[in-house]
Amino acid sequence: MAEDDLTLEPDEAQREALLWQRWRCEGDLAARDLLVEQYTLFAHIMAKKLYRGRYGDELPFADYLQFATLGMMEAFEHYDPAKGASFRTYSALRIRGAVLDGVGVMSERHQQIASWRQIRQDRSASLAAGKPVRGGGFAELAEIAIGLALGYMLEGSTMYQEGGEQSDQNAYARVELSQLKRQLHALIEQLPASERYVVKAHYLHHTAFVDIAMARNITKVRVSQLHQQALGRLRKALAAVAPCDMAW
Amino acid sequence: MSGIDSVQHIVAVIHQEFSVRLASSSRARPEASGTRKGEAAARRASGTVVERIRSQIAAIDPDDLARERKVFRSFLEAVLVCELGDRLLLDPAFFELVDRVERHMLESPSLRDHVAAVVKALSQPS
Repeated sequence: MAEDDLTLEPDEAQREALLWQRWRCEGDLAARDLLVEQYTLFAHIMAKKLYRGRYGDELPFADYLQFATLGMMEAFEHYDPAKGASFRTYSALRIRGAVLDGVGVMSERHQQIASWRQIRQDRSASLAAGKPVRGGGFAELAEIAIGLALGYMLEGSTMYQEGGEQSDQNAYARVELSQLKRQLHALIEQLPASERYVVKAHYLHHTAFVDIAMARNITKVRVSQLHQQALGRLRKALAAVAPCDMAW
Repeated sequence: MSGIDSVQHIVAVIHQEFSVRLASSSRARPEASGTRKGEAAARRASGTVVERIRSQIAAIDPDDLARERKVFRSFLEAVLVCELGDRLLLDPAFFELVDRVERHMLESPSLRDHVAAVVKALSQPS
């Protein structure tokens, strides 16, 4: 069978119809296996065709093949030979749909991962900027760790949202960090306008520094500086208001 | 350096670092500075945290291949407890926060040198 030709030779069509009859009417598993094997090859051909026409290189062929196979199996379960259309005609649309949907979701996820990596990298670089490694580097690393922790507390991550997906094994114990987080969020409003903008855009709206820079018509370096200043200011303010048992 | 010497060294380095932090923090916090009560409370808490690190590090097998990473983890926990308050030790979410910070630091190319310097300082004999 040619790649784009969905029709079968008469002998092939007859053999296939017989296999469908054995599977659907008699529950013959061997017939089912033969059909699946045959259509897996068809799914492979469809995956190759769709992969050739792809718009980006984010996903390997194996992902296309997996989506095509899943689409074929779904079509296999719903196909009714009594309605007249051949399985290939019936399943081609479903396979195509399964691949395009799957690739779309995966590509979006890839983009989200890349974007998240960039955001994390922005933060690390901003916090490490101007902190050369001296001596053991303890002080510098402690500053960076505290900055990152404040960032994660500021972020609208589900991990720290009350009543979220977290396992509430001990609701009372969970209160400590949540309280601190609330205090930290309240302190954002006390920041100077430009720093407040950067903190809200970056941590609450997950905007990369480069996008903040474009929106504010400033350089990315300046955004990084404002970010560092804002975290320093929040840290001092938090130390002043938090009922800490100790501070250092 | 034997296992015990190693633990003593690591704890001494972290303790020294804490003392410097504690002093600068007392200066920065008006309500704490100049009051004996505040300084005594800070010293007690510092001692608690250092004791916690000591027991954590002592529990790590000297031959553990992940020893350096575990020591680094103890350092991070201590830093964040001191910064944010030791009440957080009661909250499991705090340890998830430490997990995220640790993973971020270990995976970040721009922090690699900083992390390596601290791990080296903790691992070398004084």
